[in-house]
Amino acid sequence: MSPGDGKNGIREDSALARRARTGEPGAFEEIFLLHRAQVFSLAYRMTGNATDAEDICQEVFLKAMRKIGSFQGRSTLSTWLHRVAINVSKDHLRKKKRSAEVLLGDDTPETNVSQAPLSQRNGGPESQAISSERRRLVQEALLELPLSLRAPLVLHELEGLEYHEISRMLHLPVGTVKSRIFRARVKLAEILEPRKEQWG
Amino acid sequence: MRCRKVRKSLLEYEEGTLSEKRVKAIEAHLDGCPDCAELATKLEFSGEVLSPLEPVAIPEDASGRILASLRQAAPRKKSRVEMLRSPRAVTVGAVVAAVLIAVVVVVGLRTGGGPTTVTKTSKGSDLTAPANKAEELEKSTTGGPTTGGPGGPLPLVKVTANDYTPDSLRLAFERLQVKKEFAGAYTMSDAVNLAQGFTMKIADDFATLGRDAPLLESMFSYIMKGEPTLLPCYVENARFQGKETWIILLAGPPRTDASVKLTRSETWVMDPVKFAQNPDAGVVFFLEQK
Repeated sequence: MSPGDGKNGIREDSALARRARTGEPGAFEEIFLLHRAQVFSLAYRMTGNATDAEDICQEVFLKAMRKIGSFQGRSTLSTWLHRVAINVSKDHLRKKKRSAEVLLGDDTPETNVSQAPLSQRNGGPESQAISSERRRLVQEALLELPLSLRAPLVLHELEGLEYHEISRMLHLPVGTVKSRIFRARVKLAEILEPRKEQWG
Repeated sequence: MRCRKVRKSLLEYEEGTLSEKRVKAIEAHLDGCPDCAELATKLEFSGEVLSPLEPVAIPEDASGRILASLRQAAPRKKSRVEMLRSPRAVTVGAVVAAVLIAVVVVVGLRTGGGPTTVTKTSKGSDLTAPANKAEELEKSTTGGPTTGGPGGPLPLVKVTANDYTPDSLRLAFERLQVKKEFAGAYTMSDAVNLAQGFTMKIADDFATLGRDAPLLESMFSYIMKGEPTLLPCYVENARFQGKETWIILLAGPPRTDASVKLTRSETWVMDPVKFAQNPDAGVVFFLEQK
C-alpha cells in the first residue's frame, strides 16, 4: 500500500508515532513527508480540486498531530491516515454542498503541469492534451458518484487497497465493498457513455 | 449459470482474477444474456478509463504551506521542570513512593522473623506469594510470553465433521474456549510479537493433519495484511453450508475502546480451492464478535 505495511511497518510506525508523541523535533514532519503524497492524492480524487485537496491534506495532518496520542498501532499509520482522509474529505464535501458551492473549481490539477502524473509529462503536446482531457472527464465523472460509491472505488481502483482492507477502513462487510465498487464502475461507465468516442 | 451468480463474479472476471473454468462459464452466459453482457461491457469500459489514472503528486508549494502550518501548530516540548510539576507526575511519584514503602515494610518483617504479613499493591498482587507466583508476576510485567510460552494458551487446529450455518457458527465461536483464553491472556503487543510464531505452529499442525499448510499461511498473510495486531488462535477444517472450508479465528483488540486485551475476534470462513485461484473470491463468510 505505502510506507509502513505489515508487521515491520507497524513496529516502525509505532516507534515513529511514539517519537512524535513525545514531541521529538522532526518526528511528525517525518510522518508528513512519508505520507503526504497518498493523503493528497486521495483527497484530490475525492474532491477533484487541488485547493480542496490541499485544505483536506492540511486538516488531516493537523488532526493526526493532535490525535497522535490516541494512535495505538492497531493499524499502520498509512491505514489510519487513509481513514482520517476519507472522513475529512466527506465532511469537507458535505460542508461545501451545504454552502452551495460548485464542487469542481477552476483550478483542476490537469491545468497545472506540476500536478499531472509524471508519466504523462513526456508525450507530445497533442497526446498530452488528449490524456489530460480524458483525465478531466474521468475526474468529473468520479465527482458525480455518491460518496458511498466514490470512496470504495477510489480506495480500490486508484489507491490499490484490497477489498478486505477497505472493508475494515470503512467498517463495511467485504461483500458490500465489492457490490459498491461494482455499482460505482457501472455508474461511471454510464456517465461517460456520451463521451465514449474520446477513448476511441 | 444464473444472472445473479454471474453478476457477483463480473468484477473479478473483468479484473482477470477468476479461474479458466469460471471464465468459460461466464463467457458462455454472456453470449446468451444481453443484460449481463451489457454490464460486462460497462465494467470493461470503466476499467479502461480508470487504469491510466495515477496518484496525483502534491505540488511542492502546497507541501511547503502545509509543513509550515504543522510547524506552527506543533506542541512545544515540555521542559523537565514542567513535566515534574504536572499533576500526572505528582500522582505517579506518590504511587511509586507508596509501593517502595510497602516493599520495605514486607522485607523488614520477613528478615526480622516476625509474622508473615500479606500486603497488597494497588493491583492486588500478593507480595508474599510463593516463588513460582512471583516468577509469573515477573513475566507478565516484562510484556507477556514471547513464544506463546509458559502459561499462555497455544493456538488449536482441528478437523471436524461439523457443517455450520452462519447462525450455528456465530453461536459455536462465541462460546469457543480458546477464544476466551486468548482474550484473558494476551494483549496487543503480544499479538505483534507472537503472530508469526503462532502462524507457523498452526501451519505445522495443519501439515501434520495432511492439509495444505503453505496455502493456509497465504490465507493468514491475506487476512492480516494491514491489520497486524491480530493473533491467530484457532483453525477448523469443517463444512460451511455444505461446502468444504477452513475456518480461521483470530483475536484482536477492540476497535471502540482503549483496551489492549484481545477481546475482539474475527472469524474468516475460507474456501481453499477458490482462495488458491483468487484470494478475494476465497472469503465465504466473515464474522466479527466483540
